[in-house]
Amino acid sequence: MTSGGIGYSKRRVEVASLRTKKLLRKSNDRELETEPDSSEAWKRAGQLVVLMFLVAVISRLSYLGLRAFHHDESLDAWFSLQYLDGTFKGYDQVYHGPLRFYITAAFFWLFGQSDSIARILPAVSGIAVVLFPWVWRRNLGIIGTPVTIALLLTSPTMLYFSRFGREDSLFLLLTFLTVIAFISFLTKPRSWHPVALLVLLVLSLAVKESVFLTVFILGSFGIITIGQDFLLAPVGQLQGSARKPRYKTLNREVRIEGIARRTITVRSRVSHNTNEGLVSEEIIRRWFFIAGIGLMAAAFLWIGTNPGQQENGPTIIKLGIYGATLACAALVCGFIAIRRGAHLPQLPVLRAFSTPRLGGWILGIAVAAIVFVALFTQFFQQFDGPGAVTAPYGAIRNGLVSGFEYWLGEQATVRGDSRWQYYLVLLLAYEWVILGLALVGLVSVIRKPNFFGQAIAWWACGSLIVYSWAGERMPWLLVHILLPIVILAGLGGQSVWDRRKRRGATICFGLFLIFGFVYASTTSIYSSYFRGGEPQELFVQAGQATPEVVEWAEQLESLDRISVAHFGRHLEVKIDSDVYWPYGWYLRDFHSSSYAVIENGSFPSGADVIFVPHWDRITSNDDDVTYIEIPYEHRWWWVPEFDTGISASNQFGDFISAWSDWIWNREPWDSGSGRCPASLSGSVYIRTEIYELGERYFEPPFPRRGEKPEYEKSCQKVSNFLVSNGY
Amino acid sequence: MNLLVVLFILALISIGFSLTFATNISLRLEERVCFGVVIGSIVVSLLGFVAASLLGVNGIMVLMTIALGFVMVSPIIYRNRRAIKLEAKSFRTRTSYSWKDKDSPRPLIAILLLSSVVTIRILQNAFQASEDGGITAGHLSVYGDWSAHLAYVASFAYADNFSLGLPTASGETFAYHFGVDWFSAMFIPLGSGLLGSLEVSTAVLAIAFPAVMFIVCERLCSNRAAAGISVGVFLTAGGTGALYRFFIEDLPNEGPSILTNLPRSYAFDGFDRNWVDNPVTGFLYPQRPTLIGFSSTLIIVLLFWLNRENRDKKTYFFTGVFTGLLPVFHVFAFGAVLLIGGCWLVLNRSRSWLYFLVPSLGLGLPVLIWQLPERDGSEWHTLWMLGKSSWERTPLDFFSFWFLNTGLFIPVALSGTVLTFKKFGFRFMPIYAFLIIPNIAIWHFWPGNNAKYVIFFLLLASPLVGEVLSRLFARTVTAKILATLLIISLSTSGMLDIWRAFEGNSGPYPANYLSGKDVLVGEWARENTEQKAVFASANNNVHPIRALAGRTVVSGAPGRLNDLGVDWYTRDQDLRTLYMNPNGADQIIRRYQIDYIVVGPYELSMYTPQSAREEDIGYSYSDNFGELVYDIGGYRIFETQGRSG
Repeated sequence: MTSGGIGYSKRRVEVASLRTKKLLRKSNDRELETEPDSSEAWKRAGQLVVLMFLVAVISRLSYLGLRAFHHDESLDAWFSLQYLDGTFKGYDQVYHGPLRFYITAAFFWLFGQSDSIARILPAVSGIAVVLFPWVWRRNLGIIGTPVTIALLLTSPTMLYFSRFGREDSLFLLLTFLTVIAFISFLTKPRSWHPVALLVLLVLSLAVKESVFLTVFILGSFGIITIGQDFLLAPVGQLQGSARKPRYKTLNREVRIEGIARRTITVRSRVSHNTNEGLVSEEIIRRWFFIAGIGLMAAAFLWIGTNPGQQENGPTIIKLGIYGATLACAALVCGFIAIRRGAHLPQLPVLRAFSTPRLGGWILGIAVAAIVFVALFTQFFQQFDGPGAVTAPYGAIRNGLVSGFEYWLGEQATVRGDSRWQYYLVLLLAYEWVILGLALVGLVSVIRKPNFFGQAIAWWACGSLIVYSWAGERMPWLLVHILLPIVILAGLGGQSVWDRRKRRGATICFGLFLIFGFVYASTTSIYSSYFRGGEPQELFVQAGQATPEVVEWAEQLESLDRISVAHFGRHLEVKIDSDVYWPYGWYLRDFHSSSYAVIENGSFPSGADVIFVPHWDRITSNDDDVTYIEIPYEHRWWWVPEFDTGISASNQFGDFISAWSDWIWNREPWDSGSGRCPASLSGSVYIRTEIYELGERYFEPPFPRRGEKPEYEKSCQKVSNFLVSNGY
Repeated sequence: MNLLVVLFILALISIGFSLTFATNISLRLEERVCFGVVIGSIVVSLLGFVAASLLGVNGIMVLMTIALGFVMVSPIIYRNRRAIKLEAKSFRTRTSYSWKDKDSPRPLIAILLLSSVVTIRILQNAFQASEDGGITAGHLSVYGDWSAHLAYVASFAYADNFSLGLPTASGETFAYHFGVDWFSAMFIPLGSGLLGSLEVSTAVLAIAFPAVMFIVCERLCSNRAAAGISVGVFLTAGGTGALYRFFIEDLPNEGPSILTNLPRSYAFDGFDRNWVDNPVTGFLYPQRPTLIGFSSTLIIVLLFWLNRENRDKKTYFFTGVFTGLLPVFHVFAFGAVLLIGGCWLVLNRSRSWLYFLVPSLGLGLPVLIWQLPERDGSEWHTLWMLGKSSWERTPLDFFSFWFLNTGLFIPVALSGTVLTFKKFGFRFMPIYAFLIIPNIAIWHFWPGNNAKYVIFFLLLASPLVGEVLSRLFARTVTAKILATLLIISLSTSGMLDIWRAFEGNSGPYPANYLSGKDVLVGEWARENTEQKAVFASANNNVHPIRALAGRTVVSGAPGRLNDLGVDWYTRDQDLRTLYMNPNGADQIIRRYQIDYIVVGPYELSMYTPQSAREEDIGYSYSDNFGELVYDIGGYRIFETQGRSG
């Protein structure tokens, strides 16, 4: 092979070719040796996957109502209920797309309204996400596939947010399906691919505007692939044999089990690529990947971590420049390919686009457009927008542009955690097993790149870069970064298995996996079931309600019943707007609870029960016995310093000790800046006669305030959150 | 539904599945699973009853029951482990077969999915929260019969009623096929609420029923289409009321929007002209024993049929024991199976039948005798309701009665009997006895109960009807049109009634069932009174003391007590005396050993005249009924001075 435009010496290529041939022969030998066993091994793997599927069903669906609702969960459930009642006003991008409201409303219709049913859509999506790596089993390998599924199954992040009633789990599933369709489109294009891809993108858009990030990541990879294919084409053609890959034909007889009445003989052709240009292909793929991802990181560094405030160079233009750079590089590669006389229609990526023909693309666009209009107009029922300030246009225009505009603008506000390394820390804290295997996977992809590995690595690195750059950093967004990393970890697992040489190494790898899975499973169970929703978990964001909210909601239902029975009237409950959610969901059937703006000073007239945050606490005279005041904690959170507050290298031991304590006991640390778990506290005022009735009717203690965590070390002094907030 | 409930259901299905291997009949995996739901429910209920008698109703009891069940079936599982593996493999392979393939399990899976959606939706509508914190009922099945079933379930779950006293009539024995209600009670220690336990247990059995029926009909009919039609015409039976009331009256008046608010039932008109209700809304849901009875009858008949040539003793023994257990769950099913088994025995004489007869009679008859009411309520009559309600004893009304109540089901079934005579011979003749009995006898105090025979005729004649209709569909265009019209005439009433329950907003439902005050007093009684306490309370349709607390009362609803042969009249009079003349309470308190007397809205409205209420009779209640222990929301509960009065 000549180095051509690539610039490698003939000698180096020959050596590399020899090595490749040797490797190929070795792997062929192994394949032949193990072939009789491989079907048995796949059967075992299949059984293991079925078992893991059952565990996924149980772990995702059981005790879904255990944790108190997060603010956002209650809004999602509330909008679903509105859709069911026919009062949903339409898509408002602040609350993301409406598809999940429609589906959850259907669940409410069928199964009734409950906390568990409100979370069932994410749970079902989470189960599907666990199962879908099976689609890529040929790419992931006999070890990689079950490892990937097991990692998804046991991942604390995946479990927690599969049981979390926001849109992220469904969006993750749709993203997964989109990537599956995208890779399938580029490798084995079919006429239905445009319909599938475009509809999936529309469905994703109808769930969450993050689809723009997906499009960016896949789009940039598409451009890289085009450039890469341009360069790979002449290499093969000059050899004169690349257009016709050599096949070795294997006849396999597959007996269909059952009542032994069908026997199908499958003649499979197994490709043995013996091109001399394989080494060059690897090198091209390797450098395209590294350069492309490097360029992406550089582009986002250039944009900066506060992307909305780019007065002199708007984000969109900088992103455009990045895209244009990639496109230019691809064009240059195309120019080179044409000069060498490459037959362009044969290029895989161009063949993919041409396979569905124009009709396929038109059909895809038409179907996607119909689905889009249906989803954003409540199935052609409501073409007007909701009339909100944030969604000022008609339903279709809101769906097309408002979402993108709004969420791009929101990046400037830096909601959530302000630190770019936020996701990396969460990954290290919860998913270090996955991260370790993913690093191995990344190295193996770079060392021996193929299209699939390249695509997954691009998706993983791209997601990490893009989400770390985006201004809104929330714990639930972690799943979108984690999924491709898990698949990369699966590739890593397979790569370690393939390279095993000594029995000892195999045992070590097995032990590592066992230890990793035990750790991940234990952490998952604790953070999703036993400590679910407690603030020392880093998954818990400031909108998480305390168990006290659930207790109050239940007690209010009973108190109202008693009030009707005793006084012949319903309770009048006033909830200040700052603490209204998730009561909006919990008290959905309550006769008279209302959203109120309560100012510091006086009791609202006619109210029997009043909820206020601490800044609106009502001061009453000592001799005023109309109401009884009860301290109250509404939401809680913990935003620790990741360096645990150390300021010098000699405090590194404290750093290790604090993190170890957290990993082992979930003991939070006080970083010295008062950053222990804290809550939004306030007061509940109950009219005295109602309180006395409650005391008479309920088993003591009344009121119940739910179980709360207690800490032993540095945060002990602020375990009373009310005190820490100056109540 | 929580994880423990799901695991319990899976466990009972596994136990039932394993027990299907106790016969020598070859079945497919999916058939064993569907039959397993019914068989497992029966076995687990019986084991659970024994365990609960010793341990009480708690989680350990359920665990012990399941453990016992698995111990019992483990030898069967071990012996048949290879067969199970093979069947599982076969099932996996057959799932890929096309829908039309006779071995494909897809139609059965589709039936299960459809019945799941319909069942879950109907049951989801069953109970809702009312504005005052009470409970509303979603359809008549719940409003009516479930009031009694709630009392039965609650008596097991909250009052350890294992001495089998009738909770709706203190001092009487529980002469009722209570098995399915005990089955519901087993869900309560697993975390289901009282109402939830009824819904979940009903869902398990109701989802399985169409699948069980399809499997049985598939084996009896010549093709799957006939089996599907059989299931359809049975489940949507309900007479031809809709042909006039819906198509001529309601639809033209209201237009298609009427489907979102159907004004009435088309298979039931309050026991005036219609006496055979729809099997789903009139039997499966309200009359809960049918959940087990219908399926069990079909399974046993199928086993008889499949065993007709081999005359395998093991299979006969299995069906014998199965039949012998039925009186606990559905006494009509016991009778139906005995009738059919007896006739088949005559037609196909063999000593092997002894293996059926001995266990079925040995186990079943003692229970049946125990269930017989003390009062004899049987009488002979002719032509069922003709001459009663608004039917006249004229030839025209005779035909009108049967056409309105069953449409052309009977003539089509007759032609099916003729068409399939070569295959079945006289085997299907006994089912006509279920049409004869209601026309000559009243064995259950109230002639309306005779519909329970007719429904068994409809159940067992459905394969014949399915066969006729499927053959018509396979012939000329005219025959196809005729078959379609027949299906419309047979199914519209029932289908509209099922839709009404499914849709959930058709008036007058949801109807107020228990008020917030009722719920409070029911919960209080459950938590604060002894399990064996006897209450005096109103004998209205549903009362919180019996429905929510499961406590025994002097009298439940008179109609239901009458069905059980209890002297409801004396009890009703005694309650009136107690509330109207508190001074003489002592004698009645002693007679029924009353521990608590409830004076609430129902008692005041039913037993005290307006004038007495205005005079505040409450003072004399305080003086004569004992200590006031509860006084919230218009309910007062007095604790008497013990059973000694």
